[in-house]
Amino acid sequence: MDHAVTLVELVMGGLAIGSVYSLVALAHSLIWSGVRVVNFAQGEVFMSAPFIALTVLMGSNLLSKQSFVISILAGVGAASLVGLALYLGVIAPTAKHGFLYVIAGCVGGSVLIQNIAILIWGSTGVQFPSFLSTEPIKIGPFLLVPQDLWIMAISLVAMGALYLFLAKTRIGTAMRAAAQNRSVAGLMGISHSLTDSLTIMVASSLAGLAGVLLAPKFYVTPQMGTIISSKGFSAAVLGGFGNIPGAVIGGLLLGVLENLSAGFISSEYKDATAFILMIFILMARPGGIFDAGKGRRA
Amino acid sequence: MTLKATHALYTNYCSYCFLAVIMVVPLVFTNPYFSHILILGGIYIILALGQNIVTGYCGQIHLGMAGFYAIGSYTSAILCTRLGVSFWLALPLSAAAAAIAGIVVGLPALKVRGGVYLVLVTVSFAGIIQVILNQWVSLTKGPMGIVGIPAPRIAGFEISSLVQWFYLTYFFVVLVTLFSTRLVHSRIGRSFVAVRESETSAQSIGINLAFYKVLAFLISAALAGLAGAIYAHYMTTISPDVYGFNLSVLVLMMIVVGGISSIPGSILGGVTLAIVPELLRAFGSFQMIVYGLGIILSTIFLPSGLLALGVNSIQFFGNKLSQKTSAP
Repeated sequence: MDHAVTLVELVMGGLAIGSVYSLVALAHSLIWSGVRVVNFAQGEVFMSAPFIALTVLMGSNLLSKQSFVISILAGVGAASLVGLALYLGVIAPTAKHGFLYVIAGCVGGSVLIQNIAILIWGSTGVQFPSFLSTEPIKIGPFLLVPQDLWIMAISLVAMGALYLFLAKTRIGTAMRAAAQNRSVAGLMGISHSLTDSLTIMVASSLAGLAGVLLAPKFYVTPQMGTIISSKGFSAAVLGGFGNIPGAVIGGLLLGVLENLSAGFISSEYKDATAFILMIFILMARPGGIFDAGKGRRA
Repeated sequence: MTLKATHALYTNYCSYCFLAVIMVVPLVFTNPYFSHILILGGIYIILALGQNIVTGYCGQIHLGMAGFYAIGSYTSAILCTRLGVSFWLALPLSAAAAAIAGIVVGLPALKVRGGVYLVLVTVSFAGIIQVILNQWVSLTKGPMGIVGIPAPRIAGFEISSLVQWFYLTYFFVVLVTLFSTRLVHSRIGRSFVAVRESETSAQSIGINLAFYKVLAFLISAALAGLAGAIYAHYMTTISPDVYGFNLSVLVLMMIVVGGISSIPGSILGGVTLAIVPELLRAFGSFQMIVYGLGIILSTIFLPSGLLALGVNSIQFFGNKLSQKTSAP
């Protein structure tokens, strides 16, 4: 009974952090399926959102609910612009030379953005005021943190909104068409530059949302994106790179696996356990759990 | 001399020219700081040459060189401080330890599909190694690191001054350069290129993909292990934070910035990425911003690396020269 309670609590905590991984993984997979590039500087897009949100929040000088919402929206918007700038300035020009150059260019981009952030906000980090309660509440026999529940809920809403946008709107359909078959979509009169930019902006705003959601849990530092970006990338690969539902499931799975291994095996070896499990999953299914299918393979 | 001959000379011998130029520096400038940066540059060159074999020639994007480098450093450090093994025995043993790790990583890396999947597996491997370095305190002394790694001795004579270290390091750099040059022009090197260009056609002419991919991983790992051992003995103190993801990325950047699939390119890239951050100190707090911009610009505008600048200028001046001589 005791173990069962711990198990459920660990799974819930894992789902909370996993839903943040899912958002970052979604950003990676959306960009890959739509634009056929990888943004290796996603961590900096992620990091820019809480910093902008924090600046707006400090500027408004009120810790009311409205100013929180406005600051979060500002952060997410800023992240989408940072992502677009990275795409236009670094990824698109290097993508012609090859995959390796995209990695190299993005490394330059992330060094650049991180150090601009250090110049503006300093390197030590700032505490993000918590807008959600961190006091655990008791639901049945389980102790749960409302903040975690909110993170899950907001992520789910964002994923639902993404689904509606992709499935129901005209521009979303164009984006899906471009993801399915780039050249035919072009022949049907869909503008590549429009769908590419839009895909990048939507993906970057998801990464930014992940940043704002995670900010109250940790200090906001210029380096905070690096680790989350690699976790999100791992989650996307785990789910099958370029596969949208796969990214969500990959993120949740990674979060839960990590939390369970921290709880039951060893918290020191948490990252190592997650890495080893990932290597085994990839050995068993070389294209990720949900292989994205022939045309979309990474 | 014709343009073609100059060009051939440049591409065949410039590795040795670069090394010769670097090796004169401590004779001209006695500043110990220069020597220190160039010793690190030499270690970077060995790492870059290793990365070049697996990524440049065999075409496998590998982002875990820091893991093999760490294995080399720690093997040598533990053997020398705990068991009192001499540097000259510990050095090949650490390369061998890293090579074995290379096989262990190379085998699953074959199973996964290339591109992002391979990047993830190699990054994960280096991540696992770093966690082990931090957590297995009884073996690695954890975050405190290992101190007092002894200096090597040659015939009873201890290598202690920076200049002596400089020439010891570059002795190994020259050896590794000779080895890489021989390797890439051999049957094995040609097979690597065939695997890079098209796995299907390489297989169709009887190249064993699994064998050559694992071999490329093994060789690059052994070189990283060698570099790691030299680094450990040079620094005399090692701690896990050096062997992070940033180092793996830096090594990959070296071959991109210098010129990919080219041995002189790796040499140039290794030295450049050791020196440039120091030169950029002049920009004060803008140092890393300029560095980031420089990397972006060089990947966009110099896809064949800094080396291509030399090739292009030879062609440019060669054309000018031939125009002048052909004119009446």
